[in-house]
Amino acid sequence: MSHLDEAKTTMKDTEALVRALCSTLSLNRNQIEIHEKAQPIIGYHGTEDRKVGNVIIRKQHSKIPSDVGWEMKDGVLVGHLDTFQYGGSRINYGQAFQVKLTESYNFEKTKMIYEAKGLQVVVCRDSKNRLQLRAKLAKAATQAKIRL
Amino acid sequence: MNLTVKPAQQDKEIIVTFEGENVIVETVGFEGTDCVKETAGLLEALGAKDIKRTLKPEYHKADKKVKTERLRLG
Repeated sequence: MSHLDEAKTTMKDTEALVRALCSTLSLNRNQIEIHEKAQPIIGYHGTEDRKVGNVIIRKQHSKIPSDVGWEMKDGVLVGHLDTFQYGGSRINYGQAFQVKLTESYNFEKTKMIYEAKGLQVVVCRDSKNRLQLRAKLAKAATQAKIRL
Repeated sequence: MNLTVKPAQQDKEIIVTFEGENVIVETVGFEGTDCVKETAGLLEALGAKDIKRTLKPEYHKADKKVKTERLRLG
């Protein structure tokens, strides 16, 4: 049997989020802070916004005048993002960015899972130009005995 | 006379398509409910919600079907 599943997803893995951030924002890994215990996020006015994050991009690298962070809450990574469109800023952390980041996260997480299983992974685009990952497993071995 | 015939083997493949916050997971070439077991871990790891599942009977039939031909030997 074969089937098709379609589902909405949530971000739960810190490592996959870091990889997704590196690819979406063209950052190096060392420009992203990862903390076991959530740390304060510094806002636009240079003060702590009473928000904390386990994954933080400081303003030197966030391309906006404030930090952005993701906090692990009940097993789910929740973003604390400044979505204001700053003049001269190269990026906006609004809805479009969050959708793009989630897509990148899903891709990175899926790739991590199948590579850890040792499967052959091929990355391509489908006819609608959507990112696609194809994981090949061993061939189905079926045979039949026929009496002639 | 007994003859063992191996039908054309079909690759087992999992195809994951990424579309914004959604993922579309398609399985091809699995037998029985193996495909559901194979993708359950991935969907859980991705924190999948509101899963819409479509079974693909055309693959189901294709998996079970063994093409046989009676051969005249000699």
